[in-house]
Amino acid sequence: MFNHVLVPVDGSDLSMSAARHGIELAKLCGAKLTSMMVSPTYRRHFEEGFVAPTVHVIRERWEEEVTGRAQAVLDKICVEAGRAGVQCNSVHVFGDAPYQAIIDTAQNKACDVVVMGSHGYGGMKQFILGSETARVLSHSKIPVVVYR
Amino acid sequence: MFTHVLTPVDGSELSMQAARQAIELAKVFSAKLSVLLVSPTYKQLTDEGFVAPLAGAARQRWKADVAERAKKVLGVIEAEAAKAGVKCKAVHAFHDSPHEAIIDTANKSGCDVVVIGSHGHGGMKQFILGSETSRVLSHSKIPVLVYR
Repeated sequence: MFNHVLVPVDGSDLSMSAARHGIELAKLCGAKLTSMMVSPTYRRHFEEGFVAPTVHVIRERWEEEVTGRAQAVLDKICVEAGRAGVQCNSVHVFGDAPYQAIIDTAQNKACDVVVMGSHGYGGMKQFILGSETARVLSHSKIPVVVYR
Repeated sequence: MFTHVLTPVDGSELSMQAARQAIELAKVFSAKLSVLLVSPTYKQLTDEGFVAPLAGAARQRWKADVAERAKKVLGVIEAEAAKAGVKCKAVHAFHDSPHEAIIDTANKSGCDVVVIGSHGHGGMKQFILGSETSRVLSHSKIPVLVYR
């Protein structure tokens, strides 16, 4: 029924358990899985006239560290997917609008379902849905499974 | 993964499409299917002191009429489920807040996933989600699959 499952995670417990459900769904459907994580872009704080010759080094180091952490989370999912016999790819992108990155990735990779948690790290439990989940629901043209 | 799929419909095109996806999902998971239609309760317009000896009869007639129409819609899904070899139970409920009836039915019947369209009949396309769908999303403790 589904051929390609997209599981966006942010490393939070709920997103990881949603990803596990995504793996299960992919397994039952004989589908591929793409796990993805979106990190915010680098922001540089500096004052006018401030000379920082090593600024690009800091940026690179920051990006390396963020990528490393994201990859560790994504690898965890791919290992579990592999154990379940599900073919898994991972995507890590830098972007300040996670939902847009999720929608774009779904389109580029021709995913036909998104599986995600109702709240991520930024979630305030009193809100019915996390902001990114709500935005994905509102912009996605493909079905979205929301776990809570 | 899922053993009992609940799909609420209101007869709108999108809800029927979502229900068809629910049949497919139930088939993949060898799960049972419950299809639910919620109708508003009967509202009687009377003045104080207004004598309406036929009010009871009118109510009965209205209820029968609504039930018959609901049965037609539910019958379409039941027939398609039977064709797909999916065990299906049709439920018709009278309730003024559909999402409560949906959550109640899910709890009572032990459903473990809700498959629902993003908008029903009352849907205004400019809103990101239909009102009942977002209420179901906010109150459901089980995963919700939203089709659009």
